[in-house]
This record gives sequence, C-alpha cells and structure tokens, in this order.
Amino acid sequence: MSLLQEVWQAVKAIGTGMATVHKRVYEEAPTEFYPYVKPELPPVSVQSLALVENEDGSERCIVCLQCERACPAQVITIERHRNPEGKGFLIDRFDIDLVNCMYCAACVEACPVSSIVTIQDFEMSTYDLQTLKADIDFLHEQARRARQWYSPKFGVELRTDDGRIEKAPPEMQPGGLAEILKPAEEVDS
Amino acid sequence: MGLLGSDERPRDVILGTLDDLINMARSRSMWPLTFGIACCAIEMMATWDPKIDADRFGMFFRNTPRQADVMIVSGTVNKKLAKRLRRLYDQMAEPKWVISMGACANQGGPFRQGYSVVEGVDKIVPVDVYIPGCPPRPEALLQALLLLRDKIADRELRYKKPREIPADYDVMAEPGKDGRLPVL
Amino acid sequence: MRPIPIPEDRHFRPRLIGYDPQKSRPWLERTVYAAYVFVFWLIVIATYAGVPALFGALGWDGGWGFVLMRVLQVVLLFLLSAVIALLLILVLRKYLGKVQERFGPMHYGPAGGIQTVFDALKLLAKEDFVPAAADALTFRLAPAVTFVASFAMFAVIPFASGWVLADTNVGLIYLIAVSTLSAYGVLLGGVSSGNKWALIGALRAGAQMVSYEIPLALVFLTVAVWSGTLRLGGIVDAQLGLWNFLPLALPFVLYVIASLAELKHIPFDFPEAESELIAGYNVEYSGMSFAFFFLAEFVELFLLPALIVVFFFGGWHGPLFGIEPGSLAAGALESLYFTLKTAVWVWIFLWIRATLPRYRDDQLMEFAWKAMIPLALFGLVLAAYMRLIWR
Repeated sequence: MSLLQEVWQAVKAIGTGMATVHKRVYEEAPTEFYPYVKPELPPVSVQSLALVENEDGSERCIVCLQCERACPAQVITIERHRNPEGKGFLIDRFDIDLVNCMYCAACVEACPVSSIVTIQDFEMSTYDLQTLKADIDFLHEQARRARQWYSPKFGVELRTDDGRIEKAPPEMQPGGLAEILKPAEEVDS
Repeated sequence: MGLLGSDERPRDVILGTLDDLINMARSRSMWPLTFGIACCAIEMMATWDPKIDADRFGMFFRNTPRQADVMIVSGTVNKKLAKRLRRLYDQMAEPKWVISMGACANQGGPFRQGYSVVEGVDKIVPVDVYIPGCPPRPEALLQALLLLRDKIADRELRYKKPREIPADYDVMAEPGKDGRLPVL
Repeated sequence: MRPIPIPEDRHFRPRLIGYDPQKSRPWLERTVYAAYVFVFWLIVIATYAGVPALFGALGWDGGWGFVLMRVLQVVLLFLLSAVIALLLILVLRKYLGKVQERFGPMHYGPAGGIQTVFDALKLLAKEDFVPAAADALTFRLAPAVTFVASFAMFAVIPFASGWVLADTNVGLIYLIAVSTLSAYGVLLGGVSSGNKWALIGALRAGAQMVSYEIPLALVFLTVAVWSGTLRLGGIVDAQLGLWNFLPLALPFVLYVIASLAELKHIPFDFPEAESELIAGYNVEYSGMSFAFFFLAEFVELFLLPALIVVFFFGGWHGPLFGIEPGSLAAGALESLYFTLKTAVWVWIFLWIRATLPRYRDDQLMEFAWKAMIPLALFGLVLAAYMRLIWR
C-alpha cells in the first residue's frame, strides 16, 4: 500500500509543479529593455567619477591632495604648483586611471569641497583602454555631461538648463531627509 | 575573422555580401563560455537574469569552449590561472572574441602590483572589448556584448583585430627591469 | 527610465537595432510560429502529394524515375527536418524564457523569429575542429550516424492516409531497429572524442538508451497486439472508433516516460548533464558537427511525439467536413491535424523540460529495470487479454 501511496504522491507533486510552472507563463516579466531604455539609478550609486567646475568655469578643486592620499587603489595622480598671485595651489595635472579604479568613492568622501563627485553613467565599455585614462578635461566633460551628481558634503546637486548648479530638492536627496518627507502611507507600504 | 579565414573583406561582390551575411549571423548569435573567475562573475550571472535578460539578443551560455564564441574574463587573473585561461581560449573554435570585464581583468585593478596577479588579461589573450568598473553593472556587460556585436557586424571594424599573443607566451617568464611585469 | 541621449566622443554606445517599444507581442509570436508551421505543412504537402503528382504527370513513375522521385522526397524531408529544428529551438528558448519570467530571443526578426536562422548560419561558418586525441574518422562519422538514425524514422511516419514514404507491414520493427541506432552515434561520438567527459557521457547514453529501449519496444509490441498489425497506417486506421490512449493507458504513460529518456530530455538528460559533465558526449564537437547533433536531437523531439500521436491519439484522424477521403484537400487537412496534435505533444515535452529536475544516475537505471520493464510486460499481457475479450 505504501508503494501506491508513494507513487500517488510523486504524481501529485509533479502535477503541482507543472501547474506552478504553467502559471508563470502568464506573469509579467520584470525585464528592463536596457540598450533602448536607460535605467534610472539611485543618486548614491557610484558608477563613474567626475570633477565639477564652478558655474563661472573656475576650478572648484583646491588641490589639497586629500583624494590622492585616500585612494586605496592609488589611481589618482595630481601635480600642482603654488599660485603666484595669491593663496592656494594651481593644478598642473589631475589624472584618474578609471581602468584600475575600483569605484569605492573614498576620494569623494575625502574631498573637502565636493569637487570630485560620483555620477551615474555606467556605460563606459570601450574598444580601447586608453579612452579610460582620464585627464582633467575628460573629468570636466564627465561632469558637464552628467545632469546630477552626488557627494556626501553637498548631497545631490543638479545642473539646470541655463548652466547653474543647484542643490537638488529634498525629495531627490538620498537617506534620512527623503524618508522623513515621504507621505506616511508610502513609508508603511 | 573573415569568411574563409582571410584577414580582409573579400572585394568580390558576391563573396563580400556573403561575408557580411555570415558576420551578421555571427554578431547576432554570440554564445559566451560559462567561465566565471571572481566577483564580476556574479554580475555576469545577473546579466542573464529576468531583469536584464541578455537572451533577448540571442546570447546564452555554452559550457564547453568548443561551442562558445565569446569568453568573458570576469575577475582577477592569477599567474597560475593565466595558463588555464589561455588554454581555454585556445580550445575555443574560430572565430572567437574576448571581453575583459572589470578593473582586475583590464589591468590588475587594486591588485595590480601584487606578486601573483597578471596585470591585464590582454597580456595573455587578445581582448576586443574592455569594461571598467569594480564590478561593472550587468547593464555595462550587456553594453560591452552589444559593442562586440557592432564590432563584428561592422565592415571595417571587424578586421581591426587586437594584438595576437603567441600561445606559448608565459607570464611567469617575462618580468620587467624592476622584476615586475610591465604595465601596458 | 528615460530615453538614451545622443552618443558623444569617447563614449561608445551600442546601435539600437530591432527595438520594439511594446514589451511583449503574443500575437506576433503566434504568427511567427504559425508561419513556421505553415512552411512545414507546405513541405509535407509537396513531399507526399506534389512530387508524386509531378512525376505521375511526367510519366516518370517507373524504374529510375521512381528512384529519382524518392530521392527528391528525401531531400524535401531533410528540408523539413531543418524547419523542425529551427522552429523547435526557437519555441524552446522562448517558452523557457516565459517560464522564467523573462523574454526569450526577441530583437532579431519579428518577435525574435529569425534568431535560430542566425544561429544555424553561424554554426555553418564556425571552425569544425577535430582534437588531436580523437579518432578522426569515427569522430567525423558520429554526428552523421546520429542524424541519419533519427532521420530514417521519417520513412514510416504516416502524415495522412497514404502519405508515407514506405508503407511497409514491418513498420514497427523498422522503428525499433532504427531508434536503437541513434545510441550508436552518441556512443561513437563520445568514445572517439578522446575526452573523459565525453566518454562518461557516452557510456551513460549507452546504458540509458539501451535500458529504455526495452520498455519502448514492449510498448510498441503492446500497440501491435492491440491493433493487430505492425503497419503504422494500420495502427492509425484501427483507432477510428476509439483512440488508443484510453484502452492502453498504462503503456501510453510508459511510452511518454521512455521516450523522454530516449530523447535524452530533462529529467533524463544524463548524457549531456551540464552541471556534471560539461556538455557530455558532444563536449569536443564544434561548428557543423555539433549542429548535426542538435539537429538530430530536435528532429527526435518531433518524431517521438509524432509516434505518440500515431500510436495513441488517432494519427491523422479528425473531422473532414464532408471532403472526400483520399483527395488532395483531405490529405492536406489530415496532415494538418497530425501536425497540430504533434505540436501539442511537443509543447507538453517542453513543459516537462521546464519543470522537472534531473534524476540521479542509479535511480534512472533502477527505474528502468525495476519499474518500467515489469509494468510494460504487465501492460502487454493486459492488452492481450483485453484484445481476446473485447475484440
């Protein structure tokens, strides 16, 4: 009798499994159509680095070398000289080796003026590695192309259509502020 | 890879068209090798999951190198692994392509001055497309695969092969002046 | 989600080809499948009605003309098997995609409809490699043996009444003989590769296919006892009142299980178990040789469900709407019924493939020898008794 019971259980299990599988056919796929539709990433996601200029085109970077010291993969190379006309330093060379960079954003955290920031452009694949050896012009271009960027000091910043740099509204900011400002029912769900 | 193993597109109208057709087919049916090395391999798996679904573009994994077209080097390549990787590459049937995924495979990444790490997989096998990132997003891998597709389908681009490395090249045998491997 | 910006310098963007803004188009997919089935149907009509009619009109239906006609029919059947493989691989990939809540191939061609054509073209142009450790002649021969063994089963498959290449009265025995041959191809291919995975896969294939050949042959015998004939057309004609799957329920279930094993199909895909043996017996094959293994596998995936339909589901029988039997229109309609019934069974096989996990190897053999063969013998005896009592 137990053999028949086993057989019946096996048949029942296979039937249940096949019914479950068949139900899956009618469920909607969560596929994002990547190359045609670009996913909107959260602002804190570190996909690439950029160097932000001020609105008037001057450097925001004060060449303090904090990022170079903080970098665990040692991909940042900075050369500087003293400003002959006033305080501070001027940049001779600011290279980030985006090939070897491990996108940990330690440099972004270390930057006291939020000059070096993270952007969400992940489409960096290339036929030639030399396109990823970023010099200062490329890093500026990255910042100009990005519509928004993130640094821990200033939060999410936006570039408006007329070229001004603004702090993003609180609902776009990551972390605690956005959670507080959300309607209560949204948080519950 | 040309139609009959030649290195340039046939000038003949019929053969040239056939060459374009065959390469179009090759570009639209790239089967990668199931070969994961490190954490990038997790993202490589995620590229075939329902959210990204690279199978939309006719790509699915083949387990044996004989039937695979694309090798995705997904992770840190040690000097010990380098010989195995080269062997797998040699076992793949022509035409074959390589994608280098992530900082470690590109140039060693954070481990690039380690005693055991090959600084760039393009020292061992000719690489067609590089992906930066540590690890790259699954979308970035899909972008690289589609860039490779465009490269194969393009008339001029597909004959620009990367530098060929001889099969008996030994990473262990060729240190630089400072005792380390030269950085490309 | 926002549309992609214009490509800029130093940033490479993939070309956006084959985009369909609507996520899924089930009707387009069904139209693609229907188009493939329509081509299939046209080839069947051309093979079994068109070619004989043409040769009859030309007066070449004797001597060498007859041989030429048969050769032409076989060439058309080869085309048919190519269409079957293209369609079934596409359906398999799209169906597995749906089950896994994703889309299968969908950007090349209408709803991904010509993806498998690209695959076939690529395999055609890929390097066909013979390893140094392999026995070159056997290695080359094995895919051909596998494919021919599957392909030869077409000879006795009746697509409609009278639409069969060889309506021989030993059809069942021929089937048993030919389906056993495909084990040879797999075995030869695996052993001659000079590769340990291939060897293990081939030995597994040999053990599995020989073991499951016995219940399969016993089921064939049961059907023959019940129908009183070894001719496949006769078996179909004997089911005019009652389809065989009702009186022969037990042999029918056994046949489905044994044909799954014969197909090397999940849950019995030991010879090419990906997670255990890299690709099993075809691990060293590339290019067109591999494509022929694939072709053989998918032709069998059509033929064994077709045999289910012939043995248990009334073959080509269906409502004829007053068309005179024996005419061209009746033949076309009957072959359509046959094709659709087979399609349902192919879908069930794919459904099983999408659901079940793989057995363990010893369980497989135990199941064959301890369960399948006694049950098949019991079914044979039962069918003989029922035949004595009721007919």
